[in-house]
Amino acid sequence: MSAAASLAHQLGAEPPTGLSLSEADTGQLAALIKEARRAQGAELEASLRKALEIVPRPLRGTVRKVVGL
Amino acid sequence: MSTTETRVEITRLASLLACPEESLAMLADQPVDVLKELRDKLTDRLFDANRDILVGLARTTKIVPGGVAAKIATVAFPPQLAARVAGVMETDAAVSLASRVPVPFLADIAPKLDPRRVTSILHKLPPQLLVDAGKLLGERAEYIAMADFVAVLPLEQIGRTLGVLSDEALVRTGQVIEDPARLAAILELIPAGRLPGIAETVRLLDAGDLVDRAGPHLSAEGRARLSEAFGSVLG
Repeated sequence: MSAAASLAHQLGAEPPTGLSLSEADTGQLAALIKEARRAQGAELEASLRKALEIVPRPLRGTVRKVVGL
Repeated sequence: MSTTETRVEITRLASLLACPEESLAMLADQPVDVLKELRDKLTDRLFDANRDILVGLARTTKIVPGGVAAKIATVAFPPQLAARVAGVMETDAAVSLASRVPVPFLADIAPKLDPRRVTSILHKLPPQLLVDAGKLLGERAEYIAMADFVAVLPLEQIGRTLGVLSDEALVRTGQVIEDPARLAAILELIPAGRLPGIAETVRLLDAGDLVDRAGPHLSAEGRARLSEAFGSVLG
């Protein structure tokens, strides 16, 4: 995958048309976004796990169902 | 060439990506409107992720009374999760929840709120709660969140909050306010007695670009009032 395609993939959209970066810089920007998304996903997962631990056990199933887990 | 506006955008992008500003040095020569578009797309990408789960969590707060939901949110939701859930709640429900959680928890949530939802929520929060949360955000150096908030709050509310913020918090927040016209309007709100301290802080922090950005947007009256304190910068 080219750096430009990787950036579009990470952004989930075409990058701004006026963005003019070298191949290496485009790849670096894509990598930063990838890492931010990974960290965000991990943070959400950890938060959900922590939240479910606090919900009383009998209610966890209901909460999981409502949340869609 | 890196302009002040570009530097503000890079600061905001770095905050979104949770990376050092130096990592985005490659963007220094990009046009500011391109950086703003990049930030908008990145905001959509990050805040729309896992939306189904967040909507499900928001639903759980609806099946219990508001006070109970606030208690659950405080105890069970880490701030980053509570902020993301608040971002997908209906505005009135988010306001109800925000009004019931302790102020320190609200200040934990505030910097992580979806910037696209901030306006509708802030406009409905009680004024004193905003002052109290603003004070904590200032003490915690959450300048980008504060800049986002003062971008959309009525000037009257900002005026109420200025008194609880330190000179450094005001200057550093001013440095990342997106709209220079808004920055100018806020500078004009600062009481005369605080201007010498603000000017000294601007000098100490080498933040003269803040005054440069605001300068063209100051009213004649505001310019006259501020020129004594910032004279050498305003010209």
